[in-house]
Amino acid sequence: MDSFPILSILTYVPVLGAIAILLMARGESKLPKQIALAASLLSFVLSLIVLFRFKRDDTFQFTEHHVWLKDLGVSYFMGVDGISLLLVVLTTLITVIAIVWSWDTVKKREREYYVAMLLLETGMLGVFLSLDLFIFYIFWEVMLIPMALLIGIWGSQNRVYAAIKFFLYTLAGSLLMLVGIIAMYQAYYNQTGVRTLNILELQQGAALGAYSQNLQFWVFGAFFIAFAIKVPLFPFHTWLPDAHVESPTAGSVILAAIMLKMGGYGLLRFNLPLFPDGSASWAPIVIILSIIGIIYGALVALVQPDMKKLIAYSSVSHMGFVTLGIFVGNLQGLEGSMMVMLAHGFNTGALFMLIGVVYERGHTRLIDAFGGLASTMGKWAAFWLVFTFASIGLPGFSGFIGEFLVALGTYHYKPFAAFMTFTVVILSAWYMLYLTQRVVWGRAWGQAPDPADNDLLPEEKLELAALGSDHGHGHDDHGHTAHPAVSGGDHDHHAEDDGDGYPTHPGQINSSKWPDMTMKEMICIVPLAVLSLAVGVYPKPLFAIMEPALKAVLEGATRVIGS
Amino acid sequence: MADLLYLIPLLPLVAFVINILWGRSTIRGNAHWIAIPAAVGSWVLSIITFREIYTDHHAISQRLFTWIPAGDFNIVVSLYADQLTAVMLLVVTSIGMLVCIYSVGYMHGEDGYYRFYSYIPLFIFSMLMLVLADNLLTLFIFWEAVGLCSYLLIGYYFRRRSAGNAAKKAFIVNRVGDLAFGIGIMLTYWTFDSIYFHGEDGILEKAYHFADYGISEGTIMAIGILLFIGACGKSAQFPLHIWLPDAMEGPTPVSALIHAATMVTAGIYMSARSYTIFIGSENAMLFVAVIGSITAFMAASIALTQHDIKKVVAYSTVSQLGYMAFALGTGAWVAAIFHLMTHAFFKGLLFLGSGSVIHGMHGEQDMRKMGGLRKHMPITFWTFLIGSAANAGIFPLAGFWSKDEIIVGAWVSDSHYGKVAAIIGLCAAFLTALYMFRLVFLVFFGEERFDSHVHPHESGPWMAVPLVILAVASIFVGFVGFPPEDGAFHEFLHHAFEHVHGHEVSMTMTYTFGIVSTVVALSGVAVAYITYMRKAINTDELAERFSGIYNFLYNKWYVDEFFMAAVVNPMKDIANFLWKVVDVRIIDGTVNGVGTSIVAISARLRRVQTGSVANYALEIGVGMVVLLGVFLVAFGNLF
Repeated sequence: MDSFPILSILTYVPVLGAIAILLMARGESKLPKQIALAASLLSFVLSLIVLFRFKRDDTFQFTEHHVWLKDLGVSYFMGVDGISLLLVVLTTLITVIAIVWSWDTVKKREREYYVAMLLLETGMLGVFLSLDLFIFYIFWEVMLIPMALLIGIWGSQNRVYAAIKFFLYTLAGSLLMLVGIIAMYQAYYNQTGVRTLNILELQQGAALGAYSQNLQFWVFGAFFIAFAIKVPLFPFHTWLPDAHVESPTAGSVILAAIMLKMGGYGLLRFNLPLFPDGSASWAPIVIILSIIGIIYGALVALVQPDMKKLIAYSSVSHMGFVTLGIFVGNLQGLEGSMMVMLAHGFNTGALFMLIGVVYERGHTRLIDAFGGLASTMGKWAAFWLVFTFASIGLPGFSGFIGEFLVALGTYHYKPFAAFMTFTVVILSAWYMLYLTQRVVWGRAWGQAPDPADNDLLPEEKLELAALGSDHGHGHDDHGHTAHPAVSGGDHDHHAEDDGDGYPTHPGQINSSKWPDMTMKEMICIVPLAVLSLAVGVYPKPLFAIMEPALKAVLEGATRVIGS
Repeated sequence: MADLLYLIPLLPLVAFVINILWGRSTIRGNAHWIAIPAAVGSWVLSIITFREIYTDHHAISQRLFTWIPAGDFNIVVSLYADQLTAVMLLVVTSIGMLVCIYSVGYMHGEDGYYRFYSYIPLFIFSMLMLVLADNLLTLFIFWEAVGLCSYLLIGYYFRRRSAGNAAKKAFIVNRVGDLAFGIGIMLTYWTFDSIYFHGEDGILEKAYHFADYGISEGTIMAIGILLFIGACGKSAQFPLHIWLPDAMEGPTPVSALIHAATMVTAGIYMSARSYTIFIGSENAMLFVAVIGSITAFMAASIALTQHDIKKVVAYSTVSQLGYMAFALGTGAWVAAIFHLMTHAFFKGLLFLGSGSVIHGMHGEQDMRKMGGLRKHMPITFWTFLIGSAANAGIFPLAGFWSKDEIIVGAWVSDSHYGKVAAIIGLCAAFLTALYMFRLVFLVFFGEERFDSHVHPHESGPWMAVPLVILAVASIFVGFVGFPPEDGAFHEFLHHAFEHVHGHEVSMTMTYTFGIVSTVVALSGVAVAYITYMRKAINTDELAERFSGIYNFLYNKWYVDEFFMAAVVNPMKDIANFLWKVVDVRIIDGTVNGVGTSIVAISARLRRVQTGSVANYALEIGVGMVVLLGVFLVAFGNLF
């Protein structure tokens, strides 16, 4: 199997798909999206083959190594270990879902959209699979452009600002990283007389002490800022809310589920193994920033008026666990960090899709525009609750394991730090349930107040009194009234004529005729719900895959951090 | 039975899955035919398990699967049933089953009937798993899961803003406790290298001999206090009790099952389960006892002034949970569990009885609009009276035996605080009898104060039969604890608390306290009679004369207001500041400042977005060439 370049194939299948789409004539056709779906599915299947043939040890597998620019020490080197494998499968899966999601929602410049999507997939896969800094950097940049385009062209009102902000932030980070790469390359050469950008060789350099403390400190910083922007870690996070809000649904999903993971991955793959001394000196700073980010993100999420922004800030909070877990210097932290990355991929990805569902029906993301969706969109409400609780770390779903392990690892590092971190169990419940209450629960468009409601506003009491005189009694056994014109609870919704009904609070839009989840939407959401639950209940296989690789990383790093 | 232990929680889980998947589309109004058989099945299996543990005197366990294998932190999900669990299994499945049956009548025709009969089995499953957990983390999972069920069921009538508020509040306040609980688990793990309760290396053994393991008493105290703060959330102890009265927004059968009989006792159960940790630290015990006695007194005092029938019963629940907590804190472990069990029956009965009243009154919950219902609802009246008497601790009903034992236990305990707790317990007992019979007299006696168009009616057999069963249990279940301190119950449960060395309680003391308790309870009833039947005391005048105290009680000691002013609002202000100032002005301001200074670049970048793919491809190509160029320039010395 080693001779068969499966990693390259699964990485370039999307690009081949993109070329195929470009070669086609313009015009109305379903072909672009069919090709895109086929290419992403093929890539997904190949990644599954890799997953099932992967030997659970700490080596890089399915490696492909070709010398490219010999004098420069640049080689084409791909391989997968337990850390990247899971992220690769997440990437291929989420891309398939994102393409299915776009099927009927993207109507503008379809060809280009799918080309960008496929290029993006290749870029992301390449980042996770490269073992040579040269090609890693190329993929890193390749990934940046299509994402900026997705936001800038297919986004909503303020898309250009968001795209440029995203682009500049990330570009600034990657230029710093480039400087870091060059510095390290030079240092390795000075020490050994060999020019290489092979990550494994550079790591051995770290073990041999090729990089001085001073160099490690600065190069760590350069890499760190690049990855911290991607994570995003406080205070490098302000591009994220804008990017999420403006991005089309599928773009938000990819951004949240995969692109944010590049930062965590980079820290795990480069910062920790390459600069053990640098990690030791930076760890307290990273940990403090992570904890600030965890609490800060959660607090800011609490007061957001826009659903997508709220989830974006909650991502800042969740992703703080990733950086925290990586730098507390124990296995629980590292494994927790990986689990948070995967769980955040499922849960936040799904939440963005669910927001997409109502956005595509109501063309607004403002929380105040909604209300009572449980009455009109039962299935949607059910999935919303599932992912809300998954996201706030209810045990049994994927989110809990990672966040608990990170906090457990942090406790070992400093109990007070764990306490601060774990306060997020309160804050996350607060912002998510507050959101849920305003959007999912309460009265839907046109629903009369419930007389049994003990928190009625004065105007609602007046309304109720007016209704009572109109209709006599509407009491059933348990004392709640059903307005004749509206449906209640879970039963079928009676069709209403246009113009009927009224908002039950200022700003509410009419959601009474919105269809519940469509078949396409179910196809996208259900796999994530199943995965989130499965990973939460039986995560053992994931631990078996990632543990050896993480142990190896830890052994390299803790010689310094732990001491 | 050891091989079939998993069936006890599995049956309700299956019922949940069936109802949640097909309830809405297919099963609809028949959802109870899925839930009831599952609940009955669990109950039968629980009885079999109980008998086996009773006869063999040893715990049974069953390993299920490895959950988290993170290095040394290896969590296996196993079921473990000892004497303590066996009692809990019986309580949970008995009340669960009766509530399932009762709800057929109560919930008939409700919107989302299937939702009710999905969440209730999910709750029973989670609660059974909670009591079957053999380590702190699996206990914590189902601790959260019962919290989820509670959230869903409090918010059952989701159109009501009050229901949504209450559900949210319940979950968030519980999370405050969970923060401490979670940190407690972490500290436990790093202290004992284990979070399993039992066995040689289990935390119970290690905590009992903590000095041998080089563990300081301070650490044991910290663990104990952290775990108990967790218990305060779930078991509604001061000051985290605020969610429970609001939780009455849920359907009444839910209040009976979750917010009276079972879930709210999870904190008591958890503390009893980890008892050696508390034994190890006097200060932790003192903490528990103080919180418990404050709770018992505070809630009883608030219950006096409430007008909503369910609110009275809810505060009564908080108060009784306080009794259980100070029993734990004064080392009366068996008494705490004994009261937990008797309370489950009579408080379940009181809630179901309130439900029957509300049902018969077409949804009315205000006691000022009731009165004279005795004639209209005889079954409800008699069963409710039994429940009230049991709650008030009147001889020889169930509540008498367990409450008396708690007070005696506090009095004879080693703790200096014990005698204080016993006296507070007696005061609260007086209040309990007073508010309970205030309720009975206001609701069932006196003139009929409801509107003319309301026609109160007795509930049908689905509801009446569970009431009668629970009433019978409320009379007799106390006798398993007879004679006091030495009954069959004590004999049985003693095995679960093997490190507890009880105090010898003399017969004189037993009788003395029995008589004192009875006198206290009866005087409470008498005061209620004089006030509400004979009207010898004008309550309105009293409220006006002592308006300070009255408002303090009526407004529930202003605990909610305190939290709003001291925590919730400041947090929101901070959040707004962080967003509008730190995020937008400071960070983004800096970024945009940098941005405007390189306007030229931005302007050119904007032109990138032509939408022409050929251009993008070209740009990517150019980008790569540029990158290569950078390398070449940087390493020009190579060539």
